[in-house]
Amino acid sequence: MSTDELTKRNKISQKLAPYIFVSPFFIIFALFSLFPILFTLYISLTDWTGTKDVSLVGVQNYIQVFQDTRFYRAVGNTFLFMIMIIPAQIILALFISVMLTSKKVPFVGTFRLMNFLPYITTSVAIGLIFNIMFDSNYGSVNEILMKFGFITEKINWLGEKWPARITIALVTIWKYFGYTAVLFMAGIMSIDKQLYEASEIDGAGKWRQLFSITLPNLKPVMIFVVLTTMIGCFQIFDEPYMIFTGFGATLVGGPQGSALTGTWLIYDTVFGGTFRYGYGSAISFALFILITAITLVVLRFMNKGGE
Amino acid sequence: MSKKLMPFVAILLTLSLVLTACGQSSNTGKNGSKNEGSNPSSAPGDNNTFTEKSPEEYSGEFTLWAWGDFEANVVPAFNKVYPNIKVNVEVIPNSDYGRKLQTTIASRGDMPDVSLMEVSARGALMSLDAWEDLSAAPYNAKLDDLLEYALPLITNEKGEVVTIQEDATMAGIAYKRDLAREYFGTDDPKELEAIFSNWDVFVEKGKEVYEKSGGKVTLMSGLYEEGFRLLSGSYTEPWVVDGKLNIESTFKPVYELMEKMTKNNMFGKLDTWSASWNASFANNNVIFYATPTWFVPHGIKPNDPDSEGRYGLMRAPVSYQWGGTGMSIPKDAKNKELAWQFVKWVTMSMDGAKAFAEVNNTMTLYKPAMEANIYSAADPYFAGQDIMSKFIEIGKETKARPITLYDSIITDSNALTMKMIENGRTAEQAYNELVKMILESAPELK
Repeated sequence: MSTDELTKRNKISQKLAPYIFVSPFFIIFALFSLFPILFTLYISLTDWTGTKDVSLVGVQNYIQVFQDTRFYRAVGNTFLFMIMIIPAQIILALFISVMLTSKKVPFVGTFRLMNFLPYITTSVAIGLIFNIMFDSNYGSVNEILMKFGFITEKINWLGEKWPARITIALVTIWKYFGYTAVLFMAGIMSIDKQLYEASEIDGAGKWRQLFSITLPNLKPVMIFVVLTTMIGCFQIFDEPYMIFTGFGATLVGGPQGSALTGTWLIYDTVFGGTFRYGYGSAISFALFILITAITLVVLRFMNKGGE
Repeated sequence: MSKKLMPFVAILLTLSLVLTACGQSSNTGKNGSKNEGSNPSSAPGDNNTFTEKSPEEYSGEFTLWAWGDFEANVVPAFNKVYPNIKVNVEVIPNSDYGRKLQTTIASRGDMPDVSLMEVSARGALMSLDAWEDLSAAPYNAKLDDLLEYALPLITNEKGEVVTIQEDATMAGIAYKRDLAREYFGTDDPKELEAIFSNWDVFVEKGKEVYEKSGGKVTLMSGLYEEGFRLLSGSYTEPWVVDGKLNIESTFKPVYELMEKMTKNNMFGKLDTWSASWNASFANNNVIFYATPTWFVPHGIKPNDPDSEGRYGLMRAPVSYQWGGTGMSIPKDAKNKELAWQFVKWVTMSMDGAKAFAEVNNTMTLYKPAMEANIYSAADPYFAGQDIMSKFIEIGKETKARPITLYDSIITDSNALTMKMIENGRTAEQAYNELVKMILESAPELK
């Protein structure tokens, strides 16, 4: 083989190598993400119910989505959940992460684990526990509230609109604050210690350090947390599904649809009712567009005055 | 490869992937429908009939998807008669069962040879073109051998019998004898039936019990779902007729009754199957339970195992039924003939009925077994009462409502609106909300 040929082959190998090395990701992405997404788009244009008969219906499913009161109810509930969950979850997680990184709390490892435990607890267990705790007749929550005189009549937590929403918000905050706290902790630990030392020399107190150093430096983490929690609110499903339907009861969407979220609506459309895969896919695409739009707006808003 | 070409290659690859997938899906569809009648292992496709053989001559294996051990329990007895058929029971959790079946049908995956259909999820499943018609050749199920009320529950809207229900589901009212004596002065079923002969008495006595106990005891547990099953069980109008909603004649009177009963504290607020409802059996806070046959081994006894002699069974003012699991043979099943032997043996044979009663403590719908009196026995748990004979007596008068495609949407909406009545709303408000919710989910029913 001549030197020229060898050089040529080496050049080709060098050019091909990067593509070969990145190809596993792209192949997996294409198979397990891109294809399902595109296939969902195709299904959303059909009236498929799972059997062999499929016919294209154009954008009819999308027209129906935008006339569907359940869709608007799911979106409305999601916004309510965002308002109830995001600030509370961030404040709680921030408080815990600041405490656990302050070096003043003993047994930090134990506390970190305890905070993270709800996140790794299965939804079935959470559903079962909260269902018993919030039972209107025998639940410990009502018993405690009555004992301390906060309420005089038992609250029907899982049977009335607003108590049901509050229950779901509490469960969600409880489950995810540990995860958020871990993100904040990682963010806090990556802040340059010199900033704190310098501020101490300048006479800054702990509060001043929190608002002038910690929070501004946590902005990228904060943006990530807010965005993922917002998207997460659209996807709230497992816990309310288990709380309201896990035991033979089938309160789809909670009392009067008060806990119906986007994912639950999709699930109910496809797996409940009349197995409308086409319409369910159209709802998921409509939600995808909505989530993307909201994410872009929030991202722009949070980056204002920015980086 | 030039940089300019890369995006085009990417688009081309993506498109080819999608088109291949779509093409595959439609091809499978065509092949699938072609294959329906000519499945090589299903002899029926060729000559349209199964050749009659003695049980020992059937050999091979088939798969059954189950969520519990109801069916697996009878396999040893089945194998005594059919020694050469191996039944592979694959257990799938109840909560995942419908979804697994649905996704397997949608993805053209490997279907089992026998699949189960629980009555509450049956409407939409039965409407899928995925099941063998067991009343037609080669199966020719002898439907006359089944208790009459079951036929609407196993027939789809096209008139095909796509499942054969295993268990008899006629229902009465189980009561706690000690509480019945305390509040009504008797625990004799005949005397109690005479007292509780109509719903007005239920309302009146429910109020009395609540007041006498200072609110600690209620006549019945809750509206959802026991109360609803009992009060609606005698209505036989299908919920959808000719593609239109047809619920007024059932739900209006039932909701009015519920409102009256709730206002008089006849019901507690215990959702059926909730933890507090389970606990109510061993406690003294509920007297009556809406009780179908299967409810005795699956509802009462597991929740109150140490109360032998505590319960009694009486008729409700109406004959009704609740629940039930059917066995179906998918069109794509590979071993239909063997599967059918099992379905037929369990649901429509004397041996099957005996084995079913022995291992599952309840009965099948097979009429000759009921006529032969094989179930009659004094049950010590019910203080020596022959509850099976009572159920059979009820079963002869029971009628059932035909199942429609939309039943699960209506049932789910009903669960929500019953909560409204429980929380003090009127029957009219709840009914209007029910119609609104159903039409939101299925606007085509308007």
